[in-house]
Amino acid sequence: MAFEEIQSAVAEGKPRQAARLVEEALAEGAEGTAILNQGLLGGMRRVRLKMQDDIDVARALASARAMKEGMEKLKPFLEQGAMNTRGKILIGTAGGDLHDVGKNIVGYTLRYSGFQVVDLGVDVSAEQFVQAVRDNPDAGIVCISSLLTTSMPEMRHIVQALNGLDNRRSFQIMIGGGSVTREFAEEIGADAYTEDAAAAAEFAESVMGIKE
Amino acid sequence: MKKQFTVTFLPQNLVLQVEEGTTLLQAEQMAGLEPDAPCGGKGTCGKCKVNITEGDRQGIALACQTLVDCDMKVDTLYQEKVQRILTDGLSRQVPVEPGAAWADGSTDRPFYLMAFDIGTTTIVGYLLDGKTGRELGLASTMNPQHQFGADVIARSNYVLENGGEEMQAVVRKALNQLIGQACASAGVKREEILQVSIVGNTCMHHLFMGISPKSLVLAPYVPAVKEGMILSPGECGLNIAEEGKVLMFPNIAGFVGGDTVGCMLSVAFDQLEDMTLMIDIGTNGELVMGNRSKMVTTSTAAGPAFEGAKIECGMRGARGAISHVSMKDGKLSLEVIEDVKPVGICGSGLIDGIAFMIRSGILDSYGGLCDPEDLEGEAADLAWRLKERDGKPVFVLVPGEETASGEDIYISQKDIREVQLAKGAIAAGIRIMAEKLSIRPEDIRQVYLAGAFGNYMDAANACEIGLIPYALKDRITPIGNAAGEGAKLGVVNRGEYEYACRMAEEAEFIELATENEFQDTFVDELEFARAVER
Repeated sequence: MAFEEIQSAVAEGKPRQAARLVEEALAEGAEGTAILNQGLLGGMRRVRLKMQDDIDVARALASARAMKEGMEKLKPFLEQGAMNTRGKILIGTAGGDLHDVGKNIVGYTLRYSGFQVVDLGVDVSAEQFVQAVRDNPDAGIVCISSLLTTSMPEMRHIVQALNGLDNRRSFQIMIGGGSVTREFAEEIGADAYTEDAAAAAEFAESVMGIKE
Repeated sequence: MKKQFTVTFLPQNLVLQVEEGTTLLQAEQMAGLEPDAPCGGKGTCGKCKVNITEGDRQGIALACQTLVDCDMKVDTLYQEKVQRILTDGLSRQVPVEPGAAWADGSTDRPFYLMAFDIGTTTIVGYLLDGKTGRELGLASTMNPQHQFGADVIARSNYVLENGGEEMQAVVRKALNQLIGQACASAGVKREEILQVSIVGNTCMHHLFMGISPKSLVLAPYVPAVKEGMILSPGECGLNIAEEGKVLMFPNIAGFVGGDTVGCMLSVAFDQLEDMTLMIDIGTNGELVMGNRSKMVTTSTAAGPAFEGAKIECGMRGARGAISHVSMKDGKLSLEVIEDVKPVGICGSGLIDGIAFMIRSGILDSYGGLCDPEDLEGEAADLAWRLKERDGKPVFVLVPGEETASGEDIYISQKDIREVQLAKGAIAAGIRIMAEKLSIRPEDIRQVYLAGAFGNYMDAANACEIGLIPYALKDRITPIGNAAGEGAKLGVVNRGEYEYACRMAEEAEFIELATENEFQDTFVDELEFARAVER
């Protein structure tokens, strides 16, 4: 019952409630990993299901915040590595674009789907993406987002630079954002285009070879 | 060669030959009709609806999604386009010293001045007497660039793809027409206009000047030209006295332009004693905060929700728009522009509607609509208004039997989300600016609301929904079209124009996107702090 309530608090984007419920569950003696998997992550799965139906940016941001607040309370009670066991993902907004709401939603969703996410921020150049891949040779996916059509040439440039890397086979390139289409992804040589955060998480799960 | 078809536009009875495959929207543009297409012809906004009265497929259709493939007759009046345009502002008195004179040194000859406010949506021009500074008349029009896209991003993209000539030509033509109109009704000659001033947001400035808006849409979003410019009429394509001057107001940043500088000039912002917040809400919410010791400015991506775009029953503040919602004698009461059967809801009505829902406990702090059975006491009378449409909850403002279209007018859960994003962005901007000035939001002594929307919206309700900090609810003054007032001050007194240029340089710009706390602050401000927590 408590887990179900935690799920709802995350799914409905209620940060204070999520934090309070996690504390209560801990006080009642629930296991940290159980609260994580059946409570918080369960809520995140519901968020993803909802996203497929209709993306609600305000709700998604609030859910991510609820997840974060819940995790803050839970962290001291979790064993090392209870989260982030499913592989590493790099994410950033293409150079020329300062919009990060979409990128952040994808980032949170991936993080709370169990991936380790390295956020490169906004206005990230091709050189910075290449350097990040060198610094994180274990990254399985590189995600590039762009909202404005004006940063699409830069996205092409980034993918070109990444495609020239020796270890190109060790990672996949996924692109998304308001201005991007599947055709554009194919044209510039990215591996995947995903329409929303839920689809991005699904793609990540398929690439990293993990099934629920 | 492609087939040619004849399209006849009603009620103007304009006949046009177009190639097969042209969209009706393009045809309207070619015919000079300046249709309303805020989404830029992507088929998403639904504002370009027309009624095809003759042709293979008759009935209501989106002009941008309809290809001409036969001879057609099209009624374009399906969308009501009458707009309320705000032209009054709060005036500051300055000496009449325009710094303009006839080339022959003549001092008895009368001369005139004109001040323009080029808005993304509307353009207003004021005609003034050069000797007394008295306002002789005004003229206004919709910004004809609207046909290429509603917002500055859409228009910038259009220019980057198609070049800026058309965009520049239509706005210059509009200004010349307004000059003609204003002069005709005041009985003066356009050749007697010796000075023109122009304020506008940075994008409008660039498009008018024929400067590429590329730097405005690429990070770090800086203007190609910031400084104020004094130009000849010839350089600006304006038909006034040959020896006349055109004063272009300076820009502060990519999304804080000469219109904001005009607002600052109208209140002499850098001379204010009291800590002041000035807000101009449009597609972007421009904010100025500070006093005589320091000024900061920013722009928030509020989005077009308050202009009625992206809102399911949304519309601009035109005839038939629900402009206010209140509680009267325990009943929900509506105000409709021009008192006709309601057509939709505009920004001020939307704010009121949401404030109403917060007060009656229909909306929770996270922005969720409650279940009808959860309403108790007096609020239970409102339960029937909570319905589902396509499986999604909505709050019905007007049932179908009382509306113009016969369909319910409602605020949907999705609309509420859009408002949360818009007000969250502005409220977060206010908080970050206050932090920059090392003050708390409640330390702000006065709030000036500039622009049309600021004039029509209910300030108390704006505070109820958290668009403006609630603590400031008794310190708010609408100041009308402050940008236009600034333009007038600048054209009447050259020293004021120069002062505006200095003030633009003094103001510090904050780019919210690169502020670390912005994201968290924004998410905090998505909530409705005054609503019940469920």
